[in-house]
Amino acid sequence: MNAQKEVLETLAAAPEYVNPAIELAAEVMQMETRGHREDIEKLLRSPRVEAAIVAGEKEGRAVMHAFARCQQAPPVASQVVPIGF
Amino acid sequence: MSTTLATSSVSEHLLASRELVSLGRATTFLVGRMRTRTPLGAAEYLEALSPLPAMRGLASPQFIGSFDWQKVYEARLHLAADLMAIYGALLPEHYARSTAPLYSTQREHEFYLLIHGADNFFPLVVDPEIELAEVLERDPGFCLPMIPVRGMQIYSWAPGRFELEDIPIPFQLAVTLGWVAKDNAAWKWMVERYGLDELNDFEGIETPAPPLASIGWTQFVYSCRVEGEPLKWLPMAFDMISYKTGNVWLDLPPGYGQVGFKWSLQQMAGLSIRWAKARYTAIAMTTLHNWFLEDPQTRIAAAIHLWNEAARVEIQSGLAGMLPEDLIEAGIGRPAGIDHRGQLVALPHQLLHLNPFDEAALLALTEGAEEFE
Repeated sequence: MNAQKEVLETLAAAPEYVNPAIELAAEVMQMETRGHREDIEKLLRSPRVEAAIVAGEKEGRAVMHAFARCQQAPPVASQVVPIGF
Repeated sequence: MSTTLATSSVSEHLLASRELVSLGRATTFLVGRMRTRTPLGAAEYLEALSPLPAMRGLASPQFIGSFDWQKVYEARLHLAADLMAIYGALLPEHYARSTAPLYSTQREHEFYLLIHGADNFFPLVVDPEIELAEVLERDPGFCLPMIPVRGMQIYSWAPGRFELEDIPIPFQLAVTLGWVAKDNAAWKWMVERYGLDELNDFEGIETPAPPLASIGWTQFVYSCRVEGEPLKWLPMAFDMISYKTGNVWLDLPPGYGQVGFKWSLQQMAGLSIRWAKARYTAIAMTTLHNWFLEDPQTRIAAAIHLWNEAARVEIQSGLAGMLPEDLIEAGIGRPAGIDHRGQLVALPHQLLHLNPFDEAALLALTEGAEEFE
């Protein structure tokens, strides 16, 4: 029960964060909508892109691995009765 | 320039290129937007836009401009849209319950694993040595651009690639009867192995007739069917050793690698049905082998008797040795190698000319498939 609580508290306390790849992609799309083509090209030549791609791939891998680990983990009965049961 | 990655004003761009306004283009656009909501999807989008080759794992600058990355990206989006459409149609409950983001690589992996593990579909074998789950875990960005199909036959039927004693009895019979050896070595081996010379008060079994042609083969298939299970499955062993069953899961020789079929509901349905048939055939061959094993002398003799009877019918027909093409020429038969159901038929004579690595023959077998790395 303590471990479960600890996990939930850690998740709740985690700072809000947007992955740099998602942030940059959103930025590019916004520029695209506004027709700022030159700005996009300038941005794409900056080192931010490479860093964002690396960060995006790293986090993507981490999410997939975490997902795989969750699927492999043995089931544990919850202490909380789900709504409707 | 692609609509997905267009950097000019959207309205200006669309007014200038009205052909871009289509459901397909809109789907790609929206799928692209959905995928960029995940870190992997966003990285993929930036990679497609970026001109830096190092980001794509290409070490040498000579590759700059070699690929149209925007087209590659569009193709990837189309693939994601197709996969999700198939996932939603085939497994609606799983699709609805999935917590993976829409159109994400994660949801695609989920789909692959469901297909791979379900009894009513077929295995997605990327590497025979590695489990699919492990492949996906090693490479979180992994995608299957096509449905991978590998032959499920265990033995390679090229002469010299198998030992007669190692293969099940139906295949021993097919090889012995369908292939001609100068010294009849295979038949001599079978006589010795199963004590066939002890039959009929030690007079031995009748020697099998040479490979049959059209009339004899048709008669043999008919006679086996009349005998019922499990002997009715014996002609299938001939089809299998010649890779002419008409079923891609059985007609790709082991070691040939894999071919890819386009992801679509039609292909999924077709391949699933053919996979079920291939599994049924494998069970049928095992059942037939066990049936022969229970009383090999009598039952092999029965099969040889049917073969020789069919040879006699062929001689009596006056069309002995005539292959389908000969019959067509004579205005008697159907197109070569096609039976009354429009399916490919293996003719023992044709087995002599069999080359399982014949590219043209394999291409014909896998019509609709593409080479797949």
